[in-house]
Amino acid sequence: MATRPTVTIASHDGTPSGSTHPLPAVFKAPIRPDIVQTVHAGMAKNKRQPYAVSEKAGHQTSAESWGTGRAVARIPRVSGGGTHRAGQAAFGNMCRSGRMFAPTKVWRKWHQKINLGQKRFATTSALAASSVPSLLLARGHQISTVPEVPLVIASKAFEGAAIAKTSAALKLLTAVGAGPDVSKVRASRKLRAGKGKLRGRRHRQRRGPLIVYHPDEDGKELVRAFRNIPGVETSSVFALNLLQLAPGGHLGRFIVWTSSAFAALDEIYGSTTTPSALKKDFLLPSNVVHNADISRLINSSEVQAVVRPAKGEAKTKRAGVQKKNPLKNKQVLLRLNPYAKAFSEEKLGSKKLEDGKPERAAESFAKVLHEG
Amino acid sequence: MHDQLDYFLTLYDSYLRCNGYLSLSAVGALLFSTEPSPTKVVLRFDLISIAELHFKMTEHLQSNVSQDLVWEICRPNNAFLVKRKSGGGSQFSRDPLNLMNKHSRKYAGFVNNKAVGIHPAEKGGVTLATKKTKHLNRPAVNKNEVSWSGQKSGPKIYKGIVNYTAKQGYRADLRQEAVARASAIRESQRPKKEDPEPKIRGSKAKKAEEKST
Repeated sequence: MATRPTVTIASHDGTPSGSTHPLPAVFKAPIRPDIVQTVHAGMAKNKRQPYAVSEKAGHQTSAESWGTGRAVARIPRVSGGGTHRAGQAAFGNMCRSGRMFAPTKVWRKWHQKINLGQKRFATTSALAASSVPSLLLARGHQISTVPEVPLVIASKAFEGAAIAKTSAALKLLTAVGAGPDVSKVRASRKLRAGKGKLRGRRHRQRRGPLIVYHPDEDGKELVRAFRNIPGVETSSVFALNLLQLAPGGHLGRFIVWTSSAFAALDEIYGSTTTPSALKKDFLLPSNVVHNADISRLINSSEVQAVVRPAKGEAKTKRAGVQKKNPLKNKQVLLRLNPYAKAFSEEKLGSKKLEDGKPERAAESFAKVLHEG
Repeated sequence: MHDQLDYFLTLYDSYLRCNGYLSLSAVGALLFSTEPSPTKVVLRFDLISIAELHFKMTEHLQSNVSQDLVWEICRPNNAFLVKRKSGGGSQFSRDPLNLMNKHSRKYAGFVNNKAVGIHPAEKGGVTLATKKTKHLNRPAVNKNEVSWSGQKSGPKIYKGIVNYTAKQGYRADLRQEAVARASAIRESQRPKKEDPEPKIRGSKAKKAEEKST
């Protein structure tokens, strides 16, 4: 029997449907933000369209240098007369209406090739991170009402194009506890700063839950139902995309799975020992560190058995503490001078006073002192 | 069956505690035979409902994640972090389960499996929120909340907070911070005294007196 925790499958109203599914192996893949970030940076570049300034810009004049001896810089100058433009410097990147420095070219390297192995690693890593509530919270998802992470909804809720209307989709999301995340997105919609407003990127907003479905079993009607809910995206389980799984390269996207999509994960990604059925030559990456819990490792009997005992006695370093006056504070005095106790108990400080004044030395003493 | 289950789980817990790590290559459940040495526990499993076991097992089995790892991932940036250049670049946290509002491993409520948060409640009261460790993967039921009304005296509230957290061995390291936060919240909820009207002094006072008489 495999040792895998199970995930409860929620029914359409958010209550547990009674059935469960073992957690697919992909959720135990190593979580590597570094790989996800590099792959994301590469993938994000692959949708770019080339742009460049005009080839002719800044060169549409017949300027020639005046040469030396005219007490002006040797930069090419516009010829002719009768207009202010004549005699002005041209061509140089430092000139007004000159050419820019290193004019941009359409043949810039716009796209990045990313190794397939790395892409697959990043995807599994992002999937694994989507099952950690802490990472979801750190990404900013509102999941306080979500019954379980990963959140799986029974495919029965989508059966027969049940979710074909946005109202039904919204109702479903609210019922399964994704409502706060959706309303967060709605409230976050802001006008974009800068020129992007004119270029088809007028607003910016957060990302909400990602709905992952199985196109053959859940149908595709749900795509249209969800697409007008701000921030909510849909994806087929066979076409998961890192740009959606880790937007901005940040791990922990909130994913809502349909049960058939969830069940398909094991077939799609396989495990660390059984190859994936759909991806050629792919085994799930295994964790380098078997147990990522550092404190548990440190406190383990194996480590503790070989750790040498702490040197020296227990000592508290008192930093930033007020200095005590030993003349006024008895305990501090005793710490410095243990004899002080006996001294004060026997009243040695006032003993001489009780004995009266010291006797005057005999006269012979002075004589002896001053002799010879 | 439940007794057996509890027995297994307590053993499993103690085994985890004494033993750093554990790969359960088989969970079904429960026939136990313990060899003399405590580091080698041999588990033999017969069939039992896995569904019963799964909730307690979920967090232990996901060995690719730990609080330390989550912290390393989220330390550079996360949704709660407030980074400003002002104030010497100090980093704060908006996490509701962060007692000091400070971006640090110790106080980060979303990272730690055990975390404490204290918030003002209605009418001068204080609410204490803690995380449950049982169902880490179930955010909807993962929160404990206790409230004290504004009528309760300060020390009683602080004692209650300490009883709920530090004394039960639940984040004893946050005792002082929890009490300090509750105290600060109470202080902020007190009605503000209005400034007394300034007394008129000197020649103005004389004039005012003349007028009145």
